[in-house]
Amino acid sequence: MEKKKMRKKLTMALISILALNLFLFLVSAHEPEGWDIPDEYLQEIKEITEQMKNEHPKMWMELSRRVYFCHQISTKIDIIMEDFCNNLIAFILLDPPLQNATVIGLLNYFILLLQPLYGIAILLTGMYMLFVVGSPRGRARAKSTLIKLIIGIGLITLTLPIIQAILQIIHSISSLLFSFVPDLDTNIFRIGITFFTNYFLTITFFEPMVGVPFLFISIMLPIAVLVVLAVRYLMIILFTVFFPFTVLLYSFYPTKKIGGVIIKQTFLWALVPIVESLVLISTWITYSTISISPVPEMGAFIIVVSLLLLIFAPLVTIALMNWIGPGIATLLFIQPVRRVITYFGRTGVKGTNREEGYVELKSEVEK
Amino acid sequence: MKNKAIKLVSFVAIALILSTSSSAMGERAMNQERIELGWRTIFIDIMHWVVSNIMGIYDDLEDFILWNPPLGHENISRILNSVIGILQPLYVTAILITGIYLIFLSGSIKGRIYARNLLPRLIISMFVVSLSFVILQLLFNISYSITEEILKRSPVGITQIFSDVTKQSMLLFDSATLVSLEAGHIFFLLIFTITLGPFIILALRYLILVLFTLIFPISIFLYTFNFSRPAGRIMLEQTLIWTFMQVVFATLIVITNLGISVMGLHGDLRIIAGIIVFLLIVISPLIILFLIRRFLP
Amino acid sequence: MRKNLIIIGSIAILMLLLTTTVCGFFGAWVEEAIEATRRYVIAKNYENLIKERIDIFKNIKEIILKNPPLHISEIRGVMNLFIEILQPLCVTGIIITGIYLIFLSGSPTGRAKAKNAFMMMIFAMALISVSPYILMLFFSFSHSITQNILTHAPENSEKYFTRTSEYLLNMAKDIIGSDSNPMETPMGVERPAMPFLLLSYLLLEVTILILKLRYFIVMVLASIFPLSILLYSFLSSRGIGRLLLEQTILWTLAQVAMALVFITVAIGISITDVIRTMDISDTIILAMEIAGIIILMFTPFVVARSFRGFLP
Repeated sequence: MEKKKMRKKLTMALISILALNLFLFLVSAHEPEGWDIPDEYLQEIKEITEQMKNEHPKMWMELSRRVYFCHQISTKIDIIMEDFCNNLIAFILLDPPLQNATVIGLLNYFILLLQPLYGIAILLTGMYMLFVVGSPRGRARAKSTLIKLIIGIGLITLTLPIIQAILQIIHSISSLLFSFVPDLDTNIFRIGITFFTNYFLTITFFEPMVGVPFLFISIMLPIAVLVVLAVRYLMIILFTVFFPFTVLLYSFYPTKKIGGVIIKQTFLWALVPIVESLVLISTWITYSTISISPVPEMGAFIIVVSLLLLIFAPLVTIALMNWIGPGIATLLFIQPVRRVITYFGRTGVKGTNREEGYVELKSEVEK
Repeated sequence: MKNKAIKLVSFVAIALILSTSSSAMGERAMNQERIELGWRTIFIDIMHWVVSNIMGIYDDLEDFILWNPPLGHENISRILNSVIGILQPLYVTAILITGIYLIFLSGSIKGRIYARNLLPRLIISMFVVSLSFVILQLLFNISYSITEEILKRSPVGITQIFSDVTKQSMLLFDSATLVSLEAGHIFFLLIFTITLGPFIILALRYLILVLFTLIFPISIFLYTFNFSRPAGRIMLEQTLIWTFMQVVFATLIVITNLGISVMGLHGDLRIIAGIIVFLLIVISPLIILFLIRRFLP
Repeated sequence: MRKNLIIIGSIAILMLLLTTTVCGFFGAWVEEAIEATRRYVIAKNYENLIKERIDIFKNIKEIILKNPPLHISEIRGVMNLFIEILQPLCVTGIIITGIYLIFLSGSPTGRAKAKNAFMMMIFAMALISVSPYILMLFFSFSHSITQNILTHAPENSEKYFTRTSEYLLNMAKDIIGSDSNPMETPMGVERPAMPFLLLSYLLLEVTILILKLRYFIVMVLASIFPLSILLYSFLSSRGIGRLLLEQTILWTLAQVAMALVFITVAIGISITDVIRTMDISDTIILAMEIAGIIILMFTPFVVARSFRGFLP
């Protein structure tokens, strides 16, 4: 059965090869596309392909197959680059549609899940404060936990407006940045990638394996930029849905660090559009000043470098900017709240109160 | 009947075998080998042409190293002016709020001390932001002159190392590709990365420098206030580091050229020196980024 | 009959031999046909592999939900082994501390430490005896949360994860010229198609592997659970005990995180048709699906690394 199948495939292949004679004329009339190679080389190529047709037909057929592959791949790369160039700015500025019924339903489900938890937590903390005689530090912590829990309930019901507000602020900052360069043209990416695609096409004409790194650069870099932006889109939805838990985690002392980590991650992923718009603007400026630069042919390399930066700058920002979580949180939400907490949390025993706000106030004085 | 058929077939078979094992087969194979060799020769010729084009770019390497963002260009100056224009009202508001806090609202002692330290700092940084064009130009000029001085000390032309390495590698590439195309693959990649690598790194430096030039006023603003001081410090440090990356590149290249001319490295040693220079040029930004930190107060 | 077969076979071989050497075009065509068949076989093999993985993906919800069964299995046997070893140890420790407290009167600090250790050991022994049940409770808790979360997923949401592999596979099949379109069969090149095939296989395989890795790690940590309780109760070995206990909790709760990521990705991609500010083309949906798979791959490691340090 297997042998019959193989034989059938063989005959079908044979027939289709015979039927595809007309493609073979491509090679003898075709030159490696992409570059304008000087004429003497073209002449040599034509001579050799003529000889190939007569004496080494297998290689000639391989050449025709490679030419066909080059046509296919350049069509695909053109489609990818077209989508990339048309949609890049809109995708950077895209906010996930958080008003959607499904997302709101999911969020409500999580809030519903957390309500009994909050009730139990407030009850337990209250009981601990009233009945159990612990250390002053424990009592202070319990007081601050209670206050944070009550504030947390209010924050949770305001999840969507808060996150929408943050996204709106960042959207307007990025639009403002983009309005500084009204003539930003994303077609420069197409020109840059064409450089590498030309290398790829010409080299694949001679040997496919040598050209694969260039293909990799041409396809992978734009798609990786789109993937980073897509990760930001998905991360924002994830953190929105997870926000109630984050507030709960931030309220308890042992899990405070985890809550802080998650809050920081939320802000950093939300800040990605600003970083990307900055990189895009500087790419545009660089590209426009390149005509007065010493090396005008470097346009393609500026594009490749800018694509690499578009991929890695958000990730580097998230790794380096450790200040931004406590900074923004302190500034926007928790600064006045913290003063309230420390006011209520002072037990009159100086030195043993290791409440964080007290320590931070002390260090502020020292600065 | 069957016997005859078998005899006929075997006679034809033996005749054909004898004829195919003759020079016809060998000649055909030789023809095919000749065509494939010719194909590889064309590939080598085209690669020589490509590499000579690329090396033509190398004449401008010196200018490319010295290249700094032109602050007078309309795009850059327009955006910088807009950013300064956005920041100035913010500064005025901050000074007003601090003043009102000091005079009217007497809060805790720590708050008053903080506000009293903040006020002169605000005024100084507002001054600096208004002068940011001049300061940036000064920075670029310092880096430019140091680099120029270093580049002048090179005994041979600074592109000597690269052209030597490329010539040696092209010889290796030729001899490898004549055997088969896959063998020359790695030498081709080596040539490609060594010739184009420095340019990519220099383009990266230029791009990052343009980015930090545009947000220079913002980084000074962030440096003034205590809570955002680490961020402002990081941004200012990055600006300084990437500006003086020029000096580092120039030093690396000049030292390697010294190595060639004074120490007299020949042949394959030059390739190794070239690869080392290339790796240093690629890795030195990363090393400097991670080693030199927090040098601002 | 055999003689006929031999004659026909030898004539066929001779013809092949002659055609490849003497008659140029026909021989080249035969070689090309053989190579085309070879390319088709390669593409078919990879396609079977990838389709298997896609089938596994249809059951991804069960794979995420799966926890090691604790009531009857070898894991329970290992736990029982540990319990049997540790219980006499605890009893011995209690007896020794009791003797020290009652008969030998040392310094006050020594007595205080001994009292502390006494309480700790009784507590630890109680916990160790019921540790399988604690763990079963915890697993069922995590299982029910995950199941509850997974009910929110839209219909057929596995397709959001498998569509990129199918897209890459189709692209590779176009390049390699497989049998889907008989006119294109001989026009393929197989070497540039290899990265696409590899990538489409790896995307699915690594995800499934990481899901199974989570199950395996939970299994290992569950069998060491009594030991980690013991280590946590003594002050000197508290660091290791805390690490082991935290990792047990975190790797089990990674289920919940993965379920959350799963439905977020599914919902996130399915609501893109509501967006009015831009035109979501196919490339962008492809990028979103790749992003979804990458996030799903990294979730357990992110959970296990960044949520540490919550036990006192």
